[in-house]
Amino acid sequence: MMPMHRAPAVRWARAFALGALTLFIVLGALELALRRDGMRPSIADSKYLWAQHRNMAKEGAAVIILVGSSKFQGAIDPALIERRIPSTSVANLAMHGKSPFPVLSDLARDREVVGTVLVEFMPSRFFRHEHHTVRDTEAHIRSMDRLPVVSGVETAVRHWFQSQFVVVSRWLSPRRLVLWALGREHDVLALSRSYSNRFSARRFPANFPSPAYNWSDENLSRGELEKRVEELRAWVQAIEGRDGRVVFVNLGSSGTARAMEEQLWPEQGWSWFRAQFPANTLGSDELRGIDDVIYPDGIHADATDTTKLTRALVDALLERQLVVKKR
Amino acid sequence: MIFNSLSFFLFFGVVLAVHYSPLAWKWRKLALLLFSYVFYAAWDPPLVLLLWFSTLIDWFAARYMQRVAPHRRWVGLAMSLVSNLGLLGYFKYGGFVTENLVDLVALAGGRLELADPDIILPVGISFYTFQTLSYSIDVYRGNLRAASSFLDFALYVTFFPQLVAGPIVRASDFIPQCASPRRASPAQLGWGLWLLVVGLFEKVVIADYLMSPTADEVYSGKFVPTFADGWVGTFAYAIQVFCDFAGYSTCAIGVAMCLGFALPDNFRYPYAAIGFSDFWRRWHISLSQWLRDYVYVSAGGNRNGELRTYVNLMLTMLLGGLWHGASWNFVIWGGLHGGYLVAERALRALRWGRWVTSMAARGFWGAVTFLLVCLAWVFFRAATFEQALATAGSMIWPADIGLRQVSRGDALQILTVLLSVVGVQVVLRNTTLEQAAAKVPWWCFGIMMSVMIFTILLVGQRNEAFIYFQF
Repeated sequence: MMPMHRAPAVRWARAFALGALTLFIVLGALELALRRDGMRPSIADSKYLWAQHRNMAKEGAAVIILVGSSKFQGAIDPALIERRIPSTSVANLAMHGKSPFPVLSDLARDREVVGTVLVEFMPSRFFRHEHHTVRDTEAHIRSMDRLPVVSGVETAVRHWFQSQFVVVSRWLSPRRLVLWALGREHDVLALSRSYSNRFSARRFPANFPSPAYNWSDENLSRGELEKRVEELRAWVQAIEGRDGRVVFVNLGSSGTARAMEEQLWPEQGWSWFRAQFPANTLGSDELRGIDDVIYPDGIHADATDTTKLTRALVDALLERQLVVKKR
Repeated sequence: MIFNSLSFFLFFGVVLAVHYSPLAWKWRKLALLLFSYVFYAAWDPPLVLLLWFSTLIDWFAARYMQRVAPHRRWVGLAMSLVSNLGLLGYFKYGGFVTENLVDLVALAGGRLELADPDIILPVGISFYTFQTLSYSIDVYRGNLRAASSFLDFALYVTFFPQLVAGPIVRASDFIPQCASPRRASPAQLGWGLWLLVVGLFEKVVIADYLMSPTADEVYSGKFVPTFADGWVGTFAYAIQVFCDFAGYSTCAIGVAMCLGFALPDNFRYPYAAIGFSDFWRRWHISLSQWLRDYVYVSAGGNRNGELRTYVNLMLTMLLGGLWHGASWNFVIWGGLHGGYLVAERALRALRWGRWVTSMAARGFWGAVTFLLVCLAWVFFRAATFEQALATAGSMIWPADIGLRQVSRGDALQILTVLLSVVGVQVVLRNTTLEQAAAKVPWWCFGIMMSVMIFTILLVGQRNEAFIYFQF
């Protein structure tokens, strides 16, 4: 006989009542304080949620498919797109810190995917090797093959909680909470590296080092660049061959990030890329009403600018008739 | 379904509601069994077929052994062994065997082309096959009568709290509990919920949030770690793997207790162990007792002289290593522990007892035990043999001392948690959690519970799977 676990005698009813009351007071007070500081509930990206959106794209239920990384996650509001373009649904496949290429390639291969695929253009992703982000994204897509049956329920419940309460936001770890309580907002954002939340409206200082350009990946050589363009062209043709559309969207950058981009890619900038895909690009110069938008860290949009950026994007898509009609 | 998921709490709410309904015990048991299948099917429904297969084979094997004369029982045992080990062998070791076969032929100068079997490892297969095997072996040995109720037996194999990652429960401990209606007393319900919170805190906060990022970074394979990186990363993993696995066991014991069932302890402050036999009496107790009873003792144990005892110890630990995974790294991990146990036994022959009487000596041997256990974790954690060798190499013969991959803040965090976890284990070393809890005033439980749940809510947005699910 193995020694079995036995219960000690404790006044559990009182202990649980005290615990529940303390928890209720602390969580309630924190929720109120965070909301007063301008924070709103936010949905955290997850494998299961991504898979759900990927299935939406597969079943032809989504008309607009977002492919990109944290920049798209923070700058574009899918719900607003759905409101502004009637009978449109959005599959948000943007993943924080991941490469768009494996996702685009996956969509191109899938014959059931039809719609307008909006691909976030970021020079670091397009003009550098970034083997690690490509590998991460490929692994992420592969893991979708064997999702637990219960993932749908889990996502729905989690989604509900995250849409109701700020305190369950993914970025709100104990360390960030302490920094927030100490008033060190910039450190909170710098630590978070996740811009999928509707975070506060505070700005970064002008010289804030951009998180997107900290690593030391090499630039693509001329030949590799041509190969990448050919790959992109093949994926675009595959999707457009099924009456879909692919649009590379450049939302721009500011401050130190832009300066670094100009320094790193003096020849292969947005203009060069646009020349390769004239019918498939949408630049920030074509988005009306966003002239005053400054990306606080140079790359990622401030939550308060999301509406403005999304509206401008939707207007440009409609004006250029780039939205594919629902099947 | 995993304990650290919201869907589990919905599921558990329904289970509790049905379990405490006025239905007859037989129906409530049947409901528990069905819920257990739902719990398992939440990963991949077809894999439930394997559970049914294992259940039916051992049910019939045991019934057969019960009916026939003792000298013919081997037929039933062989049926159980072949089926269960065959199942385990195919699903867990199929790829490993194929890979090594190809390498072996290549080593001999030949060429063998075998397609990658691409076999999915069914979650928890190592646990439930070992559990059913123990039942068949006990019936074969005459230590246990075959279960008279198929429902009780099926529930023993499938009981959801411990189905996928243990503790590995013996039939003699579990099946008698099914005989009478189980309802938790208020004390059991309270303690069960408390254990569930403690287990989740260990898993979500300590293992996943505090320890895992550093361990993952050091073992990412991007760089060969320095001496300091290697030790800090390995300490982080030592605490991570303990809190992950002990956290699961604590949740399992708590959930079972809420349903009125008692499960055996699986961990008893292992990092406070003094010596390796002590460590294995405290770490994954249900597996080490399984290996002792069904491998070590069956191989002769310590009955055939010192040399044979050493061989048996090594064999048992190598098998224990292989049980964890189809990789040579796990075998080496088991081999290291086998070596430690052999060395300790040899030392004991030199009157070890005299060496560990003073507090300082016990502290010294405790530290040596912990450091050597950590060194063995390198092989358990590393993705490849080369990575394990490189990491262990820089931890033993450092070429570069300082911190490179790990920041000072993170190193400080790891060391603080390490000292806290080990410190608590040393203090509680000779007691049980229940005995310690009995001395704590009720309001402390209330405050601790709110702090733990608050922290779980803050950091628990990742719902990572438990490490031992892969075994």
